[in-house]
Amino acid sequence: MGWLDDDAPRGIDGYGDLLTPSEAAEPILARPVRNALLEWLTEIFAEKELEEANLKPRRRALFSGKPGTGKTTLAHHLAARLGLNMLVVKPERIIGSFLGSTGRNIGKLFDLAAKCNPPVILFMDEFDAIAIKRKEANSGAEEERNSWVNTLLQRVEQHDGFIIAATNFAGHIDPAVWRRFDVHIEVDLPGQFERERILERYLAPWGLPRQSLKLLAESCETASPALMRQLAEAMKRQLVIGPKVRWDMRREPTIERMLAAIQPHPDVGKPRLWAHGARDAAIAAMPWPLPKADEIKDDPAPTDAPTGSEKVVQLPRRA
Amino acid sequence: MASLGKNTPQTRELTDVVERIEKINGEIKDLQEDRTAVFAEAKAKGFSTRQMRRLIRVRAMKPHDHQEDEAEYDVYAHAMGLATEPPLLRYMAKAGTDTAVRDQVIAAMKSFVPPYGKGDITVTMDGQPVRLVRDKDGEVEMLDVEPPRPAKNSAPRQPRPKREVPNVDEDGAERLGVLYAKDNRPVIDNPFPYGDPRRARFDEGWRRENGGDGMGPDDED
Repeated sequence: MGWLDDDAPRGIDGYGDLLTPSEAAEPILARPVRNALLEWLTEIFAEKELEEANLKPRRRALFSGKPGTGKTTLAHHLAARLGLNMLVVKPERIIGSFLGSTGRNIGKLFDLAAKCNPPVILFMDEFDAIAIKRKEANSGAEEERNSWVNTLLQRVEQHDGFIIAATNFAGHIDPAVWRRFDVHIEVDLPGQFERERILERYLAPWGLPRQSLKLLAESCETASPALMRQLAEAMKRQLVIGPKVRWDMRREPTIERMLAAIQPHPDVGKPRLWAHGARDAAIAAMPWPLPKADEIKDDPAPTDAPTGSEKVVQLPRRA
Repeated sequence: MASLGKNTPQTRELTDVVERIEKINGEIKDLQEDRTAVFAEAKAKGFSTRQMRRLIRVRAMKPHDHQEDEAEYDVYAHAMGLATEPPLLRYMAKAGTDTAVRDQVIAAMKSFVPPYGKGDITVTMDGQPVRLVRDKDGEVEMLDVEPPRPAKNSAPRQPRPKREVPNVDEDGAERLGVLYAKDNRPVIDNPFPYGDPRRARFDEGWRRENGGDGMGPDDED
C-alpha cells in the first residue's frame, strides 16, 4: 500500500539510514572547522563539569556548505567520536503528501529518537527541504508548510538529544529554526593541503610522488572533496578496467576519458584541471603508469623538478 | 369480464379449470400418502423420521445458505450459553498430540489450499508449522516452515560492543588512548561507551600522543 506510506508504522530507522560508529571514515577538514568541532566535542565530553556550573553542553549544530564538502562525513565522525549511532534522516520519509502528515512524521521521528537508548544523533541532511522559511500563507499548501515548520520548531527545542542539520542553502532556513541551533559550522571547500590528503586517500593503493600530488591538488582548486573522490576513483577504475577492454592506456587519452565522464556542477566553478584537460601541467608531471603508493612511500621531494611546474606558478589563480 | 351465465362458453371453460385442479389435488393426496408410506417404511427399518426430515430440508437449501444458517445459529446458541465445544475443535485439540490425527487433519486441509499463486495454508500443530502450497500442476506440496526470524530493521540497531570494555580506571583509559595512538589505530576505536567518563579520557590520551585531533592529517608546516 505504497500510497498509504505516510501512515505506515516505522521504527526509527524507517526514517533514514542508521550509521554505526565503526562505519565512520576519518574526515579531512580545514583547520577552522576542525577547531570548531573539537571545541564542541570537548564540551560534550565535559558534560559533568559543565553541569556543576549550571551549564549544558550545546546539543544542536547546523552545518552549512556547498554540496560535496563532507558535511555528512563530519557529522558521522562526531557521532563516532562520541560512540553513538547516527540516523541520517531522509526528507522524503518526512514530507508526506497528505495534509498534516509531515507534521505527524516529524513528531513520530522525535518521539522515537527520544526513546533510543543509547541516544541516537539525528542528522537531518538537506535541512532546507524541511525547515523552509515561513511566510504569509496564500494557499493550503503554504499553510501546511508553515504548520510543519512550527511543529519542527517545537520538537527541535524540546528534544534532549543531539541534532545535526546540514544544508547547502543556509539562506533558505527559517530564521527561528536557525536560532534553535547553537553551533553553526560552515564547511568550506578544502584548501591545498586537504586536497592533497583527499587525493592521496582515494588514490590508494596507487599514489603520486609529493611534487606531482601537489600539482594535481593545485589543479583541483575549488573542487569539492566529493568531486576529487570521483576523480581519484575514476582513475583507479580506468587502471583496472582499461587494459581489459583494450582502451588506449597512454596518459593523456586516459585522463581525457576520465574527465569527460566527471563534471563539476556549473555553479561551483570549473577547477583548472577541467578547464585545461589533459594539457594541464599537473598531468604532464604525473608519472605514468601510476605508481603504487608503497613504492613511493619514502620518496623525497623529486630532485628533477617536473616539467611545467614553473608554468603552474604563472597561471592566474582563482580568488 | 363477459357475463357468466349457464351454458355460456365461459362456464364450460371454468368447469374445465376446476376439474383440472381437483385432479391435481387428488394426485397430491396420493403422493402425500406415498411419502407417508416411505417414511413409515424407513421408520420400520429403524431410521429416525425427524432426522430424515431435517436432512431433506438441509439438502433442499443452497449450501451457502445452509452454512450461513449454521453459523448464525452457532452465534445465537453461544449468546444463550448453549454452545459447547464444537466437535472440530475437539478433533483439532487431539491433533496436537496424536500424530495420526494430525496427518488426517493436514490431509483434509489439502483440499482447501487455494490455487497456485493465490495463497497457501499454514497449519501449526504440535509446534511445527507446515505450509501447504499448490504447485503449478495443482498438486499440494507440504513444506516445513522455518521459524520466523526477527523482522529486519524492526528495532533500532544498537552499537554492538566490538570488544569487552576494558576494566580500567580513568587514568588507565587515558593510557590506553596513548597506546592506541602509538599503534596507529584510529581514535574512533575508543572501546568505552557513550556517557562513560573514560571515553573522554581515552580521547584525550589519544590526542596527546598523536598530536592531532583525529580529524585527518595535520598541516606539515
